[in-house]
Parts: sequence; structure tokens; C-alpha cells
Amino acid sequence: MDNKKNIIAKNLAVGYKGKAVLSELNFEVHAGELICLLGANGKGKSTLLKTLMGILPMVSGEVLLNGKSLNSISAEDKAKEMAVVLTDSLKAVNMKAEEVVATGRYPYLSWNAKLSATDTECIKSSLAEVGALHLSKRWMMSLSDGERQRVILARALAQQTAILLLDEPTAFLDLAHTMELSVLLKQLSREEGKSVLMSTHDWATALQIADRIFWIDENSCFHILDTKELIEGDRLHKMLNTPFGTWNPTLGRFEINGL
Amino acid sequence: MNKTLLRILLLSLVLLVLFICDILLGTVTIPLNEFFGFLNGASFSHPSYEAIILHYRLPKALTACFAGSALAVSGLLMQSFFRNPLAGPYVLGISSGASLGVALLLLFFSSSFMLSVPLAASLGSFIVLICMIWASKKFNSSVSLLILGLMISYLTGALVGVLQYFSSSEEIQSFVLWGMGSFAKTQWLDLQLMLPVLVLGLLFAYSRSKALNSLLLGESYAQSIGVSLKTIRREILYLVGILVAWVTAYCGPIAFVGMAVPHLVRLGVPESDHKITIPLVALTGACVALVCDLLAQAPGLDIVLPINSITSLFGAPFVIYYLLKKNRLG
Repeated sequence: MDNKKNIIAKNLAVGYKGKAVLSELNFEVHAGELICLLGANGKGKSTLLKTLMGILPMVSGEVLLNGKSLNSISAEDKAKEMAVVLTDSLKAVNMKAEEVVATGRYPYLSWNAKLSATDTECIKSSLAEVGALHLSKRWMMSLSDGERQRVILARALAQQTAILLLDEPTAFLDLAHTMELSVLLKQLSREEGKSVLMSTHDWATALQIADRIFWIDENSCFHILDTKELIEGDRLHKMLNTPFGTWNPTLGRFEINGL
Repeated sequence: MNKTLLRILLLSLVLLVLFICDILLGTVTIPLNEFFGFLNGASFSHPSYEAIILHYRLPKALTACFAGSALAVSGLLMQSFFRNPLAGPYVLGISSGASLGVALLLLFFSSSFMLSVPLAASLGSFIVLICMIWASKKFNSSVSLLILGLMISYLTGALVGVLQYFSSSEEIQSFVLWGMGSFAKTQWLDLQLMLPVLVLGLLFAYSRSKALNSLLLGESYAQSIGVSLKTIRREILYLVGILVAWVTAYCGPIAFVGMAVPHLVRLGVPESDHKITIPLVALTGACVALVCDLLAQAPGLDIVLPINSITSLFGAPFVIYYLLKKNRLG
């Protein structure tokens, strides 16, 4: 992990219609770092991600993408800094997988969206990277949830950005596909030096792959946690805060009580 | 790409045949061999044939082509923008908005200047479009938006009814005739004003293919790949508003063509890339408008039916069929 800071948030407040859901956020995401964003439903995970994506206006504060202010950067330039994976499964989209991935090249194309040889090569290698090259001619609606999620990730990779934001990418995936995607995201951050920020409900996966964890607690307080310290300490037990489970620091996993 | 080119050529051929049919058929049928002779410089056996073709049928056929294209492409743009397969200028009340604008003009100001009708129609269609764009954020269901469109149609219909109550019978007659829809009311002078606007509109729509394709992934993804929603929303608003308003001003409100033609194209062409679909939808729209015009001549009878009755006879059952099919699929 190098020290380049791809995302910097200063005194950021996020919310809807000027009303803050989360405020006083101060964090940095470095190049080569994978961060998981956790917290109960309705606590503002999606709101924070959408604000960083520039889809929601920020309530107050500042976000810098690669040194450039999110509010002043144009939509096209932003698309060259940051790619996103949203919760929309794109099942109803009437396109072939390769066409969906091709939209990842749009920030680099002129008005008629004509693909150059480089673009076609990039689309192919993105699909290959997620192991979905064989799906390129298939229609989106004909793919399984896992296959579709890989294509959607390939679309984000084709954008060739330093930052990757994902909103619950494993939500509809079974265990095998969740693990597969986790490995892939880890590789992207470690080997290609991308900054990966993903929201998830899955503590078990997050603890295994994340370098750091952003956690929003029940009182909407934002915590930045080091994964290693978290695993070894007893803090997770308090965070979990349920009579039905215990954190086992020696085994490094949650255990259901009374079984 | 080759496949697309082939389809475009094929459709152009169909369009040409329909165009010639539209010029030759009607209450007076002009023989085909005489028409080809005329193209080669010979004169017709009957001197009135030339006048019929040049002053009546040729402008009518051209109007039908461009009106059909413009409405069909407007429908496609609206379906992509609202991500709603049932969207279209007529079903979402845009044509009704244009009608209200024209009604206000025709019934209140009897002496109108040259461009007053299209301008009044544009104003009306813009107002309804803005309402629809606002409403589309509130509704998740595509059927809700459709119902709102119908309600707007009723509302404008009621307003027009109230206006008519206070108008003279001649004013009412001119408005009712306009409302039945016709491609035959345009003269060469009207075409000089109408065609450039429609052609520019269609070209502009084609030039926005990339942004329109992005919108197919949804507004959030579109934003993430560099589309400014504010800009594209405004562009589609002006583009659809102007296309629909200009067609409505010169031909009256034409029902269902805008909604149905994109589906007709989708039956044969699965792609959704606008660089492919916009030309195909435009050509198919022109063909459909010509077919409707040919049917309106009521072959074999000495009457001309209103265009709107013809398009509704085909369009309304199509919407019903679509709703039934969608229901079955769940």
C-alpha cells in the first residue's frame, strides 16, 4: 500500500434534502487499499456511497478525488477517476454483456461511441479478468445472478479508474460467488493499486478481506477500525451487541451461542 | 454493422414502394406506367394528374414520412428516458398539451401569424413534458405514469370543451377538423418550415446516441460514466417537445404511432444501441405513417377517413395486447 490518497473526506456530512444522516466524517482512502463499509440498514451506507459517487449532493464539507474537489470536477472527468457498482442488477437491460462492459469506455469515447482497437481490447481484458469472457455475447437477462455481477464488475474495470466504489456487491450472491468476488476485489486493490470501497452486511467476509473497516454504529457514529486490531481485540463482541452470538478472537470468527 | 446496413436498405426499399403507392392511390388512381413516364419527362394523359401529384399527394406523402419518423423517434427517446416501454407522446399526454395550446390559439385569436400554431403547440407540449418528468420521479410503476398521462388528456380535453362552449361554430369546426389528424393539410410553404425543424431534430437525436445508451443502465450508472443528467434531461425535453409540437401543429394529434413503432422495431431487432435503433425507428415510423395514410384513403371508396381513427384502431389494441402479455409474464 503506498501513501497516495485517492479519496479524502473533510468534515463531510451526507444526507437527503439538506438533512444530514451522517456528519463530521473525516477519512482517507489510500491507493491499494480495500475498505469495507458496514452498519445496520438505514444508517447511511448507501447515502455515503452515493455522495462519494456524486449522485447525491453533499450536505456540507468537502471530498477530494485524487486531489480534485468532487463538487468542481466535471461528470466526464469524474468518470475517469472513479467507477461504480450499484445495487441495480441490470437484469432488465436489453443488452449483451459486452455492450454493457462497453459503456465503461464511454468516458473516453466521442459522441458516436465508436470503439477503437484499444477499447475493444480493454473490454475483452476486463471480461477476462473477472472470468466472464465466455459470456460476452450473452444477453444480460439470460445470465445468472453471479454471472451478471461479474459482468457489472467488468464494466467498472473497463473504466480504468483508480477508485472503485461498490454498493453491496455480494448482496445477491451465494457463498461461492461471494468468495470469488472477494478474491477478485482483493487482487484489484493489492496488485493494481486500486482504492476499493465497498459496503456490505457480511462481517465474516469483511474481516477477511478489508484492510480497514468503516463502521456506522446504532447512534450513527462513524468509526474507522483497523481489521487486524479488531480481530485480535474484544471490541467486536461489544459491537455485535447481541445475546445470540460471541466473537471468538482465537478462532477469528463469530460463534452462535447455545449450540 | 453489416446487418444493420442491410436492414436500413431493406426498410428504405419498403418506404420507397409505400411512398409511390401513396402518391398514386387515392380517390383518383394514377397509373404506374404514366408516373414513370412522367419521371422520364413525358406528360400525363390527363393534365390534372400532374397538379394532383405536385400540389396535393407529394406534400402529403412527405408530411406523412417526416411526421411518422419524428413521432416514432420521440416515442423511442421517451421510452429510453423514462425507462418505460409504454411511454410515448400521445399516451403521456404530450400531444394533448400541444392540442390545448392550439385550441387556445385557434379559439381565442382568430387571426394568427405564420408560426403561431407550432409555437402554441410547443408551449403546450413543454408544459406537459415538464409535469411528466417531475411525476416520473414520484412514480415507480410504469402504469402509474400512463394513467397520469391519460388524466392529463382528459383534463386538456375538458378545458378544450369549456373553450368550445364559448366559441363560434366556425372556430369549433376548424379545431375539430384539426383534431382528427391529417397529413393532407400541408402546402409546400408549410413543408419549408416543418421539414428543416424535423430533420434537425432527428439528427440531433442521433447525435445523442451515446448519452441515450448510458441512460438504458439507469440514471445513476449514466451519471457514473460521465452523463450530466441535467443536460440530457433538458435536451430530451426540448427535443421531444419540439418534434411532437411541430408534428401536432401541422397534422393534428396523431395517436399511438410514437409508442407503437419502437415496439414494432424491437420485434425484429433485439439490439438497444440507439445508433442502430434511431435510424430503424425513424424509417419504420415513416412506413407506418404511409400505411395509415393509404388506409385512410379507404381504397375503393370515395371517402377519406381521419388519420387518428386509423392509428387508434391499430394502436389501442396494441397497448392492450402489451399489457396482457406483460401481466402473463408477471
